[in-house]
Amino acid sequence: MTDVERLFRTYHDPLVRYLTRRLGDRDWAEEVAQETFVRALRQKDLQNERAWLFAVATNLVRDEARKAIRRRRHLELLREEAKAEAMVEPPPTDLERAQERALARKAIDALSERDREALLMREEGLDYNEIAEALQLSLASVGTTLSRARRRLVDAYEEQRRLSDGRRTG
Amino acid sequence: MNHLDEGTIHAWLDGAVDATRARDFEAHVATCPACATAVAEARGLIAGASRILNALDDVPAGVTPKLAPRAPPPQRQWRAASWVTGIAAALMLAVGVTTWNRDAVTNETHPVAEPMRNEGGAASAPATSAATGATGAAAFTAPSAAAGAASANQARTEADRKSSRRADAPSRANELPAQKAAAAPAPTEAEPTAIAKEAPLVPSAPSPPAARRRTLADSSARLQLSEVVVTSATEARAVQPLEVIPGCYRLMSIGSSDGRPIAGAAASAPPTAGGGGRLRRTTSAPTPQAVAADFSATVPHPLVRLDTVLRTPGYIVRSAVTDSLVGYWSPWRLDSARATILADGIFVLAARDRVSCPER
Repeated sequence: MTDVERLFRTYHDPLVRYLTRRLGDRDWAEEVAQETFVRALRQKDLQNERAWLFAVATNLVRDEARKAIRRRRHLELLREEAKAEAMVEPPPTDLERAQERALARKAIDALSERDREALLMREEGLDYNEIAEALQLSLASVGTTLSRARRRLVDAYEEQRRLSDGRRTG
Repeated sequence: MNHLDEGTIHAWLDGAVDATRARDFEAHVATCPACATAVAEARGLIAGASRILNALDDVPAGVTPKLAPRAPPPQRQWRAASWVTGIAAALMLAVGVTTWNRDAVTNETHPVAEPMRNEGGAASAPATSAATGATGAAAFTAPSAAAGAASANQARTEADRKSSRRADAPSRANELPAQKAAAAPAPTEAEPTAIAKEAPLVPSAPSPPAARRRTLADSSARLQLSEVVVTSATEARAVQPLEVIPGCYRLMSIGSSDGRPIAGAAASAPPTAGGGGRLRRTTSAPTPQAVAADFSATVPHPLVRLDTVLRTPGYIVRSAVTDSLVGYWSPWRLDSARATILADGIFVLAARDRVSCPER
């Protein structure tokens, strides 16, 4: 197995999953992942591969996300797609899952960028050293960041659930 | 020793403190109820957060819902493994019990707690302690009880939640009726016998709203059983793409500025004859010149073979000429493949564009 292969096989899926959860868009996530790996190949020697990959991916996302122009184009794209393809009523099971996903999405968007990223990285198994390195945090502050992020996420989710239930039962 | 602050507790639970400190913490927590509560709450938060993050998965490409259910690539199915479902259910229960104790426990929730006793000794601990509004120590034992409700998470989103949600009920009670609903379906889940024992208790429950809700959820869960099966059948369809997709394909580089398929529109805009188009959003792609500079104008592996060998993270793609591994593919929309060619890009290949493989 070449080095490229090893890197790819080991980290591609977790990276895509992290990015998908971060962005809410699988295609975009795959693109960023692809770009990350391209950059990795240019590195001669990677210490702490996982931390490095997640750091690069995170920075790519932050750079892109700051561009308002991309957001506008993204919306245009969605409009085009909606027109181009028929929307079929999804079966009930998918609907429930979609609703839960929507609640989770709103909840995670309520977090600050750093809290969100730290939590998502932790979810992919990065240890405190890796998270500190990837996000340029002090090791001591990782625990506090995660505890705050988790509490906020759960609170936000419960809040969204309450709102959504209230709407449904009127 | 001082009381533990939240950040330290999380670091400890995440395994980020050294063994000596960890031992000190353990010793302290054993004798300090306040810290024990804090630790239990932290466990609940960690579990709850994890569950919420997992709910983010399975985001459809392009965001708008597409055709009839697309069969997800097997290795990406986060719901596939029953142990994942079990843990997810355990986490959900841990959150439910923890936050349960925060709200006042009403009479309505007591009958719901009863059936859990049948699941074994471990279950009685959270049931009793929750019923008496005890500390969050319940969250510790909750995971073992929830193991018996392993199907809960799968059935929960599939069970009719309209029946288990009432404006007048404590929101936490929603979790448990859905678990009772798990009594009927999910034959493939772990410990079905433990769950089956719950079922007889349901009809004999007293009449407060919680019990009525539970009965409704139980009956609708039986209805949902067929839906569970349908889901499995949908997954089984993922096998079909393997019959039509594997084979040889030509990869095209980005040439004309208008020929790029947009993500999601690729299926409706048929790739030009002769090969798959590279998947690229017009919004994110830099200028065509820059892209061409990044990836060579002629693709290094213009002819590839999509194999049926499954190796994480997908099915294997080989160069049709040298036979070396060049990337991975996964089914996309039943009649196409999304191929990631290492260091090269993502291509969407439609089955109809398959060409014959070169003689070797």
